[in-house]
Amino acid sequence: MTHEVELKIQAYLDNELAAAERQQISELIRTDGEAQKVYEALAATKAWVTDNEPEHKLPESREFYWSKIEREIRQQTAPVQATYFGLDFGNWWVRLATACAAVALVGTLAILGSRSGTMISRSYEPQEMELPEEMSAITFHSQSANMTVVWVQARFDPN
Amino acid sequence: MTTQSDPSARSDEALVGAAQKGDMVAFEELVARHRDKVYARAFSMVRSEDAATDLSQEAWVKAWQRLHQFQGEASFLTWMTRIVINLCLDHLRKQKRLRAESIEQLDEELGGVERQMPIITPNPTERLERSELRERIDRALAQLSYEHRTVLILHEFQELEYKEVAKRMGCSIGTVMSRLFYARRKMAVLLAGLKREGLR
Repeated sequence: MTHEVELKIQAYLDNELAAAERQQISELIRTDGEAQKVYEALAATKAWVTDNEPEHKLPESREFYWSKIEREIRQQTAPVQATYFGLDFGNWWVRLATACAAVALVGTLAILGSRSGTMISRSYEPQEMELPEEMSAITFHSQSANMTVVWVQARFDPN
Repeated sequence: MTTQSDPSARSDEALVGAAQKGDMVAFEELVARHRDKVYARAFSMVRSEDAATDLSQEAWVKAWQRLHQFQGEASFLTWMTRIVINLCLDHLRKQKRLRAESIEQLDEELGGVERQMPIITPNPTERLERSELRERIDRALAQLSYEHRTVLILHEFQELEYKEVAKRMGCSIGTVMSRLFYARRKMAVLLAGLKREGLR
């Protein structure tokens, strides 16, 4: 018997044959002793295996296993669910709008700074600002114009 | 967030619905309910307690992240099992890439050793306790190559059709049929208690 026929007998057992071929193989199993032997061996093995799927118990307590999952979930979801000033930054357009507002604010301060001479620079010391992960900033300083421009933008991530 | 009632008394559907709204207590109950089955599937594929624990844990984290995609066409456990199987397949592929392909492995994949085996029909009348039978099947599965074991698990336990198995394993339907045939033949030999030198 060829390997191809053996595979067809198996496909018959697994109900993977088209109707015409199914009829043909059914007839072969009925009339050919060798084909019948192959079929019976495959069917018995299939039955043994499928009826007796091995069972394995998780070797960790419920609490310990869950604590690891929970920690991982909280670590991975925290940045996505973070809110700033009460706004949900999960939507990109909210982030974009916030960035535009930030840019407008910085621009206004820069214009005021250039018009009022040293007043602002005397009144306000340079400060470090921590930006949220969704935003990035580029700084430009002009000595001649005595002006610093900070460009704040949202990192574009449609997901 | 809290649940409205005792989570252990709620159905999977109710727990999934609550978890989709962010209820972690409901999700914890789903984990507690199905953790052994998800772990068992991972273990049957990777044959390592540590790897199976890590992979099943990763599957739960992924499930939480993708919970909004679960529409309920299949049961929650079936959906979870799919996730862990995909992770196991990725894990096994990485492992396979790391180890050198030997002629012996390639030969086995094509049925080299099994081709020479006699046709054995396991005797169903043999009286064995169910737990003993399961243990014997488990030991036999452990002796199969990764390709043979995976195809057997996906087809017999996960009840996937040939084309689905082929898709998951990244091979042709013909290869799936051949692997399944030789996997069954080898299982029959192992279950019949015929230990041959050289069988893995």
